[in-house]
This record gives sequence, structure tokens and C-alpha cells, in this order.
Amino acid sequence: MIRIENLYKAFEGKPVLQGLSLEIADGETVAVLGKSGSGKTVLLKHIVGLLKPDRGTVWVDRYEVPRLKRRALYELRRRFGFVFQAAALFDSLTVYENLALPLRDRGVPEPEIRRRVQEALRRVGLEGSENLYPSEISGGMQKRVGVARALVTEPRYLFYDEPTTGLDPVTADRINDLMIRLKQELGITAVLVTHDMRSALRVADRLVLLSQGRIRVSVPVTEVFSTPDPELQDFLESIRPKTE
Amino acid sequence: MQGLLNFLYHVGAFSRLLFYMLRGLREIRKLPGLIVQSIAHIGLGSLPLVAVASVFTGMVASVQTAYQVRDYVPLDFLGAGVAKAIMVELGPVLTALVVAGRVGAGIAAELGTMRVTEQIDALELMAIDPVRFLVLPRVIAGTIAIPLLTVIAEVVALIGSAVISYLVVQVSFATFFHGVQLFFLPKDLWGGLLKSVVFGFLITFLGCFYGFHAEGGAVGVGRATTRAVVASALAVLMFDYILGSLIYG
Ligand SMILES: Nc1ncnc2c1ncn2[C@@H]1O[C@H](COP(=O)(O)OP(=O)(O)OP(=O)(O)O)[C@@H](O)[C@H]1O
Ligand SMILES: [Mg+2]
Repeated sequence: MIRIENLYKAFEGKPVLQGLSLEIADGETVAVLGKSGSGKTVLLKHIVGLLKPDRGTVWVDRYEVPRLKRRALYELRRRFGFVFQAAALFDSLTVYENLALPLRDRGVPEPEIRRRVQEALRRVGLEGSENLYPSEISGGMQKRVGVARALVTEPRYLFYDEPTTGLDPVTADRINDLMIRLKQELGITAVLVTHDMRSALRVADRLVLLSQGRIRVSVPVTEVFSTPDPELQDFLESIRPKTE
Repeated sequence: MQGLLNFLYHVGAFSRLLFYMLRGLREIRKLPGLIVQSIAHIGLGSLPLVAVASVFTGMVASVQTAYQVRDYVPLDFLGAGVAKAIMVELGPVLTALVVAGRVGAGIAAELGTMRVTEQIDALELMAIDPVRFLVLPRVIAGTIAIPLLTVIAEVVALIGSAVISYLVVQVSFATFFHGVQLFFLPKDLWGGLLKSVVFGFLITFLGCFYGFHAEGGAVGVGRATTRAVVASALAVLMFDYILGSLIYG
């Protein structure tokens, strides 16, 4: 369970989060929508303890993230998988080594590492790319490697920062299917930050709209179209078939 | 005032990174592989450059010393003067300056890029301490590799110097190396090497520091690289004076 309570964060006096509260139940997938610059990535980074709030707090399971000592935070992070908006692959390492790194650091034996890396690459459809460097593969492939790297440690919580942005529709759907399968097969709790309404509606159980530093709307996907909020409807415009 | 604040900020930030490094030592059993890799990268990578720089240093040292002392001192003692200069000053300092340009800049650019492309955040999220994983191996490797490079540089410089002494002022190899031995003090050698240990630490530490704290995209990486080189060159010269006074003063 993730509980965000009254979160405030400003950068150099410019407020980004202003009293944001949100709860995410175990097994739930929540899609976070919001305009560019609204603070979606900042929100994710607070949950995983990469940023510290000015006020308010974040709970993950029974841990209060901003107050954890470093060791305890690292311990907690073993439950997390994080897909970065720009992949953030280690460019000095091959695809295989990128995925193996977190496992090796935890002392997982090599045969087990090999098995898990193959498994994660298979899930994202990238078998056979083990020996390529990030600079040798396309942006879309990098994103999928980013997803595989988040998966390889078998996390309980997955944070996706725009995993389908900039991908062609076929690859995007492949990632969508993957997110759905992970939810169904492994019961992973996920936060999906996205501009891609199609992806949000397919994958998420609930949609939340981040605006002016708070959660403006929070609705189950089934009720999205019947929610009269104008900003939410603006987002839905992007996928409505043109009627005229 | 601004200057003072900036100075205090740096003292604080340096101490913090040092503290994190000491803390990272707790996981020392994860380090040897990375250190060896780093030594190979820093040491072997810099070898050609250091060798070329040293040949010329040695050659210049001969010509210069001969020119300065030939009216007062018999050139039989040329080797002594040159060897002292190389072991005490030229070897450690010039190697450090050459390496500061190459290795310090390389480290700052590499870590800076990792910072601005969120690779360092990615390590954090994998529960891998980035200071332990990125900074410690490089600093330890530098502290080992740069004194080794310095030894090689000094040998190469002495050879270059002997050759030039023979060609230009007709001092035979035997006379030259007899001169080297004649006034040799162990302190000349270990004092110089002690300095180069400190230089190795400073260069890699500052490279890591500025890279680690880079911000603001490619421009930020460029800025970090420049700062690392400037800061390590200054630090080398400053500590050369301080250590020189302590050891030989
Ligand atoms: N480390 C930081 N330092 C200073 N400002 C920051 C930092 N991180 C984020 N910001 C600012 O906070 C605001 C929100 O950024 P954030 O990255 O969360 O937006 P976003 O909703 O993820 O946008 P996008 O959809 O474009 O990724 C932006 O104005 C950004 O400039
Ligand atoms: Mg973002």
C-alpha cells in the first residue's frame, strides 16, 4: 500500500506539489495524468525517496519514506522497480549487464542471474539483444530494456514514467500488454505516469489527474467518460473519434 | 562574502563526499573487481601520454641543468642534479598535471553524464550506493595508479635525460648514472612518490566530485569537466608546495 499525505514541494521558490494526497491499494494500477511540467515525475521521485518533501509525507507499506535511514530506504527499494522517462540505461554496459547489475550486487548466483535476465528480456520481446550496448539500439528498444531492468528484481511495486511516450502504436501496445500481464500474473502494484490516454484506459484500474500540485480528479477507469470534469474531458478529447 | 560562502560550501560538500566514501568502504568486498578495472583504465590508458611527456621532461631537464650549472659545477655531477629534480618535482608534478587533464576530465565527464541522464538515480533505485559503486573504485585506483605511473615516468625521464646529456654535452652514461647515485637520498624518491599518492587522490576525487554534482544537461557536464581540471591542477600545485615544505623544508 502507498499513501501520500499532503505533499508539498517547491524548487527554488516555484511550487510544484501543493498538498497532494493519494492512496494506492495493493494490486492496484493507478494512472497519473497531468500536463507536462505538472509534477508527475516529481511525485514518483518522492514515493521512491529520490526527492524529499518540503512538507507532508509518503508511506509505503509500514515505512515512512522521507524519514527512513539510508539502509532502511535501500532495503525498501528492493521492492521497487522504476522505469525512467528517458530509460537511464548504463551506457557503459551491455543490455545483459544492465539487467544483471542489480542482481549481481545483491549476490544472486550467476546461473540464477542468467535465468532471470533471459526471462525479463523475453517478457519485453528482446531476446537476442543481450550483447548490444544502449547506444546500438533504438529509443523504443531502450525503453523496453528499461522496463525489463525494472522487472528483473521481481519488484512488488512498479513505477512507470511515461513508458509508451514516443513509441510507435505497435510497440506501445506491446508495453501495455506487458503491464497488464504483470498486474494479472504477479499482482504488482503500479503507478503509471502517462500522457497516453489509450494506455491509461487499457492498463489502469483508476485514473488520477494531477493539476496545480494536487490530485484534481480520481476515478475508476469505468467512470472516466461519465465524469464531468472539464480538464479530464480535455485529456479524453485526444482519443475521442472525431464525430463531425 | 560570496567567496567565503562558496569556500564553506565546498568544504562542506567535500567532507560529505569523503564521509560517504568511508561509509562505502563497509562494502569493500564488492570493490576489488571495479578497482582493478579502473586501474587498468587509468594506468594503461595514460601510459603513452605520460611516457611521451616524460621523455621530453627528461631531455629538457638535462639541457636546462647543464646550461645553469656548467660554469660552476663539473658536468660529471649533471646526473645528480637532474635526478633530484625529476624525483622530487618534475616526475610527480608533471605526471599529475598530465593525468589531471586526461583522467580528471574523463571521470568528471563520465560521472557528469551519468548524473544528468539519471543513471546515478537508477543506481540509487537499485539500492546500489553510487558513491561506493562509482566514486570509491576510481579514487582508490587513482591513488594506486598515479604513483605507479610516476615511477615509470621518472625512469623514462632519466633515460631521456641521459641520452641528451650524452648527445649534447658529451657526458657518458656511466658518468651520468654515477652522478645519479652519488648524491641520491632515499627521501628524494619516497618524498616524490608520497606526493604523487596525494596527487592521485586529489585528481580522481575532484573529478568524481564535480562529475557527481553536475546539473543541467550537456552544458552542465562541460562545466563540471572544466572545473574538475582547473581544480585538480590548482590542488596539485598547492599540495606540491605544502608537502614539499613539510618533507624537504
Ligand atoms: N531537480 C529539480 N530541480 C529543479 N526543478 C525541478 C526539478 N525536478 C523537477 N523540477 C521542476 O518541477 C516541475 C515539474 O517537473 P516534472 O518533471 O515532475 O514534470 P512532469 O509532470 O513529469 O512533466 P513531463 O510530462 O514533461 O515529464 C517542472 O517545472 C520542473 O522544471
Ligand atoms: Mg516527467
